[in-house]
Amino acid sequence: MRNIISFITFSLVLFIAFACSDEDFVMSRSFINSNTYSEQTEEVAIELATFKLDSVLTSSQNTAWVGRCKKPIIGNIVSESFVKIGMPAFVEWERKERYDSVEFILRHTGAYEGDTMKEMTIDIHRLAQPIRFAESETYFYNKREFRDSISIGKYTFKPRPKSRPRVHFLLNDEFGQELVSFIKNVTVMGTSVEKSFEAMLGGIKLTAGDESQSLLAFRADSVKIILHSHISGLERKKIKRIFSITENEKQFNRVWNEEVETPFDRLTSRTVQVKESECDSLRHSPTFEGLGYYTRINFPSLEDVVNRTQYAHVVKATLTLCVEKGSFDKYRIPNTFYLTEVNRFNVLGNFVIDNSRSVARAQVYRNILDESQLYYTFDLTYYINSRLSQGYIEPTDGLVLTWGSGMSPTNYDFMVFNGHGVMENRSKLDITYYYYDRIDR
Amino acid sequence: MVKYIAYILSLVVTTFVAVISLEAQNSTSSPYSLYGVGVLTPQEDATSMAMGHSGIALAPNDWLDVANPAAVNNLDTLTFYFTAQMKLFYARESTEHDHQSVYSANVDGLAFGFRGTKWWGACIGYAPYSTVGYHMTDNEQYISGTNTKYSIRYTGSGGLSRAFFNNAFTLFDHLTLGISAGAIWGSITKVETALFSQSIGGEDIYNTKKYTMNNWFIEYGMQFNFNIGENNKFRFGAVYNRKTSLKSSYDHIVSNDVSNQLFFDDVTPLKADFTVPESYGAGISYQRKRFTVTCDAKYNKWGDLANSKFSETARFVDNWSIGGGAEWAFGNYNDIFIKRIKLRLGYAFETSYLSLGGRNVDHYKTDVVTWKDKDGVVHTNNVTIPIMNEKNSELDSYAITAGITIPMGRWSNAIVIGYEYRNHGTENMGMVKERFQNFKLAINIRETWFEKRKFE
Repeated sequence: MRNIISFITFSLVLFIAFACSDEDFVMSRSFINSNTYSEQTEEVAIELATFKLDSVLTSSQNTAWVGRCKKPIIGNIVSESFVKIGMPAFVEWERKERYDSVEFILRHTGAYEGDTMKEMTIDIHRLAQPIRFAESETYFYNKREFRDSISIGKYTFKPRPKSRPRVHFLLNDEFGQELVSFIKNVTVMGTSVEKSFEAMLGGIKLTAGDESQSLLAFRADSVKIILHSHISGLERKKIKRIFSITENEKQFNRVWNEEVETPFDRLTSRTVQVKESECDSLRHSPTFEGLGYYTRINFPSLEDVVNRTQYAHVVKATLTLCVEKGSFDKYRIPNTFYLTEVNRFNVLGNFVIDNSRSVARAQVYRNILDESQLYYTFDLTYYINSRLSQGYIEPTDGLVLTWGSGMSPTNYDFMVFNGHGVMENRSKLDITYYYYDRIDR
Repeated sequence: MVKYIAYILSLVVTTFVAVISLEAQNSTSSPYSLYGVGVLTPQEDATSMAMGHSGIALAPNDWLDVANPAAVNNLDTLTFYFTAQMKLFYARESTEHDHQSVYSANVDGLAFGFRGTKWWGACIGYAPYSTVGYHMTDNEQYISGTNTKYSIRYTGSGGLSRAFFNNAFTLFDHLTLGISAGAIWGSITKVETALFSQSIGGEDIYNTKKYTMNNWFIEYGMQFNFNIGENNKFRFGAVYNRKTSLKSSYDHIVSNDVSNQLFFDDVTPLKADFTVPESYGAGISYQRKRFTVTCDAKYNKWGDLANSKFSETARFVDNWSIGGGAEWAFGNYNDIFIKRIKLRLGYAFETSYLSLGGRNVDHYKTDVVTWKDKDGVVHTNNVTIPIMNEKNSELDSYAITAGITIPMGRWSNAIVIGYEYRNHGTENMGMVKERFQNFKLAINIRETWFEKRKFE
């Protein structure tokens, strides 16, 4: 009897342990009929603004941009590049050695802007003053305008950035003879010699002629000055002394806007913002690292969101940044952007992260039928909820759109984003709320 | 004797441990347990279930009848009774577009009984009163202000339990009055999970409502028996309980996977307490030698409750049920094994205490409507107006039942198996049709405790 009862009890416990059901049963709303909460998506006002993060000159290590091109909204952009040239390893001048020529060499990266069908002139200047870092900042260059630069050679050509990557031409012989004189005076290589060389040749500026209508990218490490000479004797011996780029971190591009009276003339310091309503009638905000222009996203309505979330939670916040038609190269669309926190003084903070604690990356959406329609979306759920949870909303805090690292071969990529005030394809913040104040108790 | 008591107690402890350790195991999977306090569990044992859920007019002396507190008047005075009961079920649930199969098992009740005096019998026990256990998904929910759909998962668990102390007092030879004093308690947890991650890549929100309720519960019963001739035994029975409000409290928790708890409220009171409805039941049984037939009818005033209306389309409504069955016994308790087997058969019908999916069209009537157009010209139209009723008859259920008592060892110890095929609900109007195969398995143990030996 007891054995049978034990067996039955054991069997039942086993049965209970392995009892199961299928997955969720799909039911219609009419059966469930729950009223315990509601949800809603609404568009929250944002404001785009432009500020100049890099208020001096733009560093562009490894790429020398030279030329000019026209950009929407901001007009003609001019760029010249500066490099520092070092001494060659071999400097001793032979007694029978004779000077031949001095050659300048560049190599295209393949990137370009503007019309490469038109001829352009590259003008090489020697700098009287050496390139130095600004005293307080390591990534900005000094503000000197290098007025003492002197042209040492120019070259007019029809650019072929893809098919003819190498550009080379001769510099003035006066400059060549000056190099020869310097070398003849060198007896022993040393620090004093390098300083003397720096005093003679502070650096090289690559600038474009006024007729140029294209902006070309060259490999900075390809910049070379070659001093050609020979020794006559039974057999003619050719000698090449190569003056290459040195201290690569001091290579930079100087970019400016030729356009007069743009809304962005006010951007003389980092703390100034040009809001979308101050930009133009279309309420645009350009992002152009070449000029240090960055698009900033302000959230003037976040206080209203706080009031709404007394009995609600933000389950999704999506920031959509729509790109103005024609403001981008459709063959070189960035795959992503990042967002960085920024305060009222435009000082950058941390990258924005998403719910998975990863850096929030933009998803790019492109209309296949209408190739000119392009926009980026960000998941700002974690960011918005974090700000709401702080209890106090600092209205002057915002976000900055930053280019994704490695996504672009240049920092001359350019985009204009539509503000929130435009009627079509406007940038916006969509927030989905989950209201739990309708509890059917 | 001590060993036997220890064994029974260990069995009880084992059973309770199983109950506690398998708390998540619900004894229902019915989507209808979404409403109210869940699916009500009949207060009966396997024998009553096998006879069409009837037991109000029975007064057995070899098992514990808990359908009527007056039913323990016929227990043997020298015997201690113990019953442990399990319920196993297999259910197939279907809608117009989906179906699922579920099987599960759980403890269905425990009871001890004895007859203290010639005029007093008692029974102490535990049984589930209601169970909640559903997993449903609605994939057709739209986010307001958009054309975006998302899914909501609805899950529910828990239920109410009942502990009772039944007392039967025999007045005169034919009349027995019964009273059951006890308590109903338990908690129900309902979670609505808004699955925004699957649709808009947002956060999933868990909206959890935990209801806790308890109160004392009194039930009254009576039985009256008489014989016609020597072999024709009749018995009438009745039960009644008043409407009983359960003291209910409520915890509301909203949480997500990111920051966990977003909202907690245990202060806001419920609009109305949950309530056990006023109920009436009556039954009649007839016994001739080893053949017994019985029939019960019950009426529950669910529509009378303060919180009977959940929404515009869902409410409690009064319900009634009727069931009956017969039992054949082939011999007495001291016969050989085969003659101690008992067979049972029954049928039951029950209207639903839930009205869902709105009111039904009862009939149509034609009416005349006059209206003016913008030029002031009067027009007349005949319109057909549906006249609704509030009865949702398609949720009624019927059941065919059967059972067997398998004797074990000496005396009247037995395993009782009850079986029920129940058909409930409809696939129309977005509702659920349920077909249950229910088994109840009861172990009835009797032990002589109160015998005084004259010779040691």
